[in-house]
Amino acid sequence: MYNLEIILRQAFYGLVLGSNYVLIAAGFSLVWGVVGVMNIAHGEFFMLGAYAAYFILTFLGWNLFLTTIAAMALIFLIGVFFEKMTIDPLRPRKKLDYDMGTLIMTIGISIFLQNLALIVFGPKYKGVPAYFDGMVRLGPIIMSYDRIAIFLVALLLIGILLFLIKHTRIGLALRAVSENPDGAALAGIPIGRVLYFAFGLSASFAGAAGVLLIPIYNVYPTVGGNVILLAFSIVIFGGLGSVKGAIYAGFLIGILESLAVLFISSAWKDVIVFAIVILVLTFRPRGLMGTKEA
Amino acid sequence: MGLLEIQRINCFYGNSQVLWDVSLAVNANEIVAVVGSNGAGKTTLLRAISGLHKISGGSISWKGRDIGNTPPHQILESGISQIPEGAGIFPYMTVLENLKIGAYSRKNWKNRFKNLEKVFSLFPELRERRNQLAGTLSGGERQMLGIGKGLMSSPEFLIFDEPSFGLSPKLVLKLLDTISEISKQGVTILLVEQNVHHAMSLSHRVYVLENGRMVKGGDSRTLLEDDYVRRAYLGA
Amino acid sequence: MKSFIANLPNKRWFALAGLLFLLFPVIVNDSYFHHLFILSFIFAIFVSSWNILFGFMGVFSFGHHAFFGVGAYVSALSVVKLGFTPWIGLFLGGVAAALASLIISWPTFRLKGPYIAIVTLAFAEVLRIICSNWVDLTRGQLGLSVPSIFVGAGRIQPYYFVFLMFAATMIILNKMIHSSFGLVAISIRESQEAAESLGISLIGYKRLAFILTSFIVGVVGAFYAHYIGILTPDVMGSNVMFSVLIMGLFGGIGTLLGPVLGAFILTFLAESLRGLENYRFLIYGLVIIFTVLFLPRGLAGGLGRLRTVYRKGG
Repeated sequence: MYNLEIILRQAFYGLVLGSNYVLIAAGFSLVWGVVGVMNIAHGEFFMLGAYAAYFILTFLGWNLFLTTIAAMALIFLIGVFFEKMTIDPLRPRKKLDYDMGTLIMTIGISIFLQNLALIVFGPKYKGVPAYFDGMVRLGPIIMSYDRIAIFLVALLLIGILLFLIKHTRIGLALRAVSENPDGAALAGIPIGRVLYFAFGLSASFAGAAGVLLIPIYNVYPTVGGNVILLAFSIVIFGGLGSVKGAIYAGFLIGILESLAVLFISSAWKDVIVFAIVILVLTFRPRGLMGTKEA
Repeated sequence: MGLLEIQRINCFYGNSQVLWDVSLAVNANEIVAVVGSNGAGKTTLLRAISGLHKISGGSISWKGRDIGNTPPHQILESGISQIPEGAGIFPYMTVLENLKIGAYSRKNWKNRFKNLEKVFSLFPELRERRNQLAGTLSGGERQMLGIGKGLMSSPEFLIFDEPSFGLSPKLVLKLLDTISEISKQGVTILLVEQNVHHAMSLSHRVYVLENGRMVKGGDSRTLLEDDYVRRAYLGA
Repeated sequence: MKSFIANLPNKRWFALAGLLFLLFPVIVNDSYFHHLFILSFIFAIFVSSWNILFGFMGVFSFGHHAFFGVGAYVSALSVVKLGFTPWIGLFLGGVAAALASLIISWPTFRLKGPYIAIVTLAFAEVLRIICSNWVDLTRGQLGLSVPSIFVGAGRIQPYYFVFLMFAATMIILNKMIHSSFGLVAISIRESQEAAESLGISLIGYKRLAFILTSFIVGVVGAFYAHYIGILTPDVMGSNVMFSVLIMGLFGGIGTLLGPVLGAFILTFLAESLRGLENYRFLIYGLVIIFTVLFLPRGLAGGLGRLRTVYRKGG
């Protein structure tokens, strides 16, 4: 019934999914740490990225790399736009009003984008054929080139993100604003511009995941709802504010999820994820590796 | 005309006013101190200068130019650097990274290695600990790091908010020496201190802020003799 | 005119409003409007209760729709499967909702702001999925048929009953807000640390707020089930919570009048937009965005400021 090959194949599939979950969760964590916003509309950036990929692939026929770059650039701009128009104006408010306001604002943006997509793109699922055809045998398992390609691109993006955060001037600024916004302002860091960048970056990574996963999952207007739930779980598991934690947790949950589907029906999958989230937050309010207290 | 001139500014927290008609001037190469008890509004005043707090009414000018309500990074770029309460450092970043951030703005970034050397020669302990996480430093070391970070932008004007807070007496003396040394290198200094003795021993002039209003101002030595100051702050 | 408005004491406004509501079904004979008012009252009760937790206490409870649904299902099932009368069903619905709130409120005591939102939302989703999947018990998406509380069709009886519930709720909530409970609630919202330092047991107050508001919401959820007659898990869906959120936000959280205004205005708005199905939610999204940006205190907050301006004569 369940032999080693199937389990290994699902585990690899879990890695493929996990690498994309990391992209989504890292973006969510970034905005939470740097901008101080729990962006409920984060899943919608994934959705927009996937739709962008759909149109680019269907009408322009570009390859995986070009599509990813183009979509990321587009979603980056959309992210900056939303930050400037809707979050930035709330910055002068005092903390409680800011927290409440931004949370509710992102809920509003989420509802707006989902229904805009519904009206513009229609409710039907849209999909694209695999990026690459063919399979290859690696040891005991057979894997499709498509999934390997997705996995490698996702890993590349994760690597780029880590490099950016650790070794560039802007990465320094992101970390500084996340740890001590006043200290960062006093050091001459232009806070407003850093926030735009953080939001745009976060959105573009979610969009990239959308591009990479569309051959597997198809896109529909409300897909963002599932994505945001996933992002929460990963980020809480790995700890809010910690990009490294998001990476570990992303892969972990990717693998757990694909193995769970083998053994448990997918109808109850969400309940398990939610239950775990509630339990983790109950007993470890900081998440498993978080730097910010819940 | 002073280097930094504050004329009758008002500041609010929501609907409550915390600074009333506050005026202050600092001339080039001076060390000026502001003293007052907790809650007098000293930190608000400093935050207002650095652009972290809005002023309503009045003006702040730097070298003749109005800088009231300007974004903080622009204030830093015009040559005013501040070391806030708690040193303004980043605990999860290394000492080196903390210092580099001090040189963030474009024109300073080019000179960052040169300024790093200057800071390390002023604070050799920081050079030793440069790859350590700032959160693991002791109180005195953090203060040094904060000052180093503030110096990385080659400021003309350096603001200190309660730099001796939480330091042992020995370290406080070292701190005062350091501030004096920095002043000798041509940096103008504005210092907020709760400890009036320290403030007055180091500075040329002192202002007294009480409940959001500037009540006295003048030469440090003269004020040391002043009856009011002696009774309120020196326990005489 | 200005001084007329400024000098009318609150009590007379409320008495006037109460009278109008009582006479409404007599004046207006249209059953459709009765229905709209009933829905408005249901939501007014729901949003006002939730507002105690969110608006007054600053607790980000985004899972209150769970209690609504629990009340609905428990009442419906106790009548359908266990043969209780709907009156007992209403009570059981409230009790069940209160018990559910005890479970979920416990983790929230140690968490801050947005995390409470996640936990409460997750909890509500868990309950919704359980209801949806446990088809043997609840008939899931197929819908559970629920008998009415009242004999005979017609909306007059439900109207007066829900109006009574509404009036009772408003009186209770008003008492709460103007008591020491209200003061503690607001101090928790403004500064949890400061409130803690006063030595009061905050947990006790939070628990009380949860239990009371969930009981009320459970009862009104049960009423909803018996009134509508058919029950699906969507009653605990996040759409319900978002509606409550918009109503509270737009009307003005942190006031007593706000949620009521919001409930009525948005219920009527939703009905008038019923034709434009998808655009309806699009507009909801825009309403949220604009309200947060430009009307952070909602309508009632804005009106409050207006009244102060009038009072000062300026």
